[in-house]
Amino acid sequence: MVAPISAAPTVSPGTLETELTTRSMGGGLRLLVTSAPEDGRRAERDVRRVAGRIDAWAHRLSRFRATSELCVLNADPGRSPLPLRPLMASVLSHARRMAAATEGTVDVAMLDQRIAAETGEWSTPRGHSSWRLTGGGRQRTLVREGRVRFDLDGVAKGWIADRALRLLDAYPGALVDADGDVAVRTTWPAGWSIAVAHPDEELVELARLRVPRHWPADTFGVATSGTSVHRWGAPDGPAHHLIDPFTSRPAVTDVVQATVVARSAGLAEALAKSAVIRGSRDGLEMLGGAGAWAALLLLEDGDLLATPDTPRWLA
Amino acid sequence: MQQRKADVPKMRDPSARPPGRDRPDPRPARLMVGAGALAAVTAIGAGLVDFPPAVAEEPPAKQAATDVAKVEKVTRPVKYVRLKPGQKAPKGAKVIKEAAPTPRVVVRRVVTPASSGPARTVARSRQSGG
Repeated sequence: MVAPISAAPTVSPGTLETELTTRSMGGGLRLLVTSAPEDGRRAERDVRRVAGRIDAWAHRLSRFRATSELCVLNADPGRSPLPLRPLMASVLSHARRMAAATEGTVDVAMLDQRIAAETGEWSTPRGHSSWRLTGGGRQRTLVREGRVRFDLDGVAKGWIADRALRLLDAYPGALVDADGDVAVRTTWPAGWSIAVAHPDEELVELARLRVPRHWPADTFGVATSGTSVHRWGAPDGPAHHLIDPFTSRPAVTDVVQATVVARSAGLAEALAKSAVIRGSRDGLEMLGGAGAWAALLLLEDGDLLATPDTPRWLA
Repeated sequence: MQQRKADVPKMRDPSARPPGRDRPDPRPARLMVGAGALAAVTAIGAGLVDFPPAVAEEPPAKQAATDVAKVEKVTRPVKYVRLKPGQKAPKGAKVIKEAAPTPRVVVRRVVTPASSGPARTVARSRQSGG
């Protein structure tokens, strides 16, 4: 449970919006809160603090910083059991839940396969490997069987967006945009909408999403995943960063990009990634049952598919 | 011998020019045109054969027999990649520094309360590579 950074501000007529933009997690970070006009200073102080927390989390979970907790974990992939610090335990626990929600499609233990896809140097297939968490509370232990290295990447980004939003619980409206994965708290009638970017045209919007009238929840996440941004030419054809755990190779899919709305940014991110990896037919089938409130799938041929409830979310 | 000499047409004196017409030597210009044409043909040839491997969807043998435009439709440019230490960006790519700038905080008063009027777009969900 994360305690909000400050007490609830007094509500008064009129609204003040406080916005912070910076770079973090290798991309853009944006925080936005609404408050009563007299709480502007407190809002400014809080968004700065949350941005600092996000940066600290990102440093610890990065696979590009040699001293990060993740790199230390990956440096000795056979070491087990291994006691975990609470942050890593929480993120890996979230990764476990996301794997279950996507029937195994989202698998954070695919770092070796991702690096192989990036370098084109495929080694012999690894033997059986798996991982689990034991213990509870703040005493979690990682148990690995075989060689397991983690690539937290989008899973960590979704976790961070949700966690940061909870730190801003004191504000009636709050938004955390973690480089395109968005966690939002707002209620109808809402003044905010979230645009869905076209994968090839930076300024073109595929859709605008807005919390529907009478929607029972005030918190939701929007996330987009796809194969068209992190994409490169490999000797045996085009490759991208979304690894299919069932083939250990970049997914062969007809979905260029998937955007999902769900109860959290973490779940939305996992479902969007899973829909791309599975392809449009299996992906759409999976989304409804896995908790997607709305979803848009852009296909290779240019078609845009949506789940049945999606029109309610269109602004 | 004398007769034969008389049959041969008179050689033109290169220094003798028609009065009033100062024509430039055309040889350098011809060379230039020739070189330009050669360069253009080479460029077209390179453009056709030097497609990046990412766009090739069909085996090369089939491709040669089909229309080149068919290959073009699946081109998707790489927009963003993270460079590893020591790795160089592809030619023509714009490299953006990852170093974090000073956070920018904007505080603004919303004139119309957020609860009325059309929804304002406050974020864009997009691929980030994660």
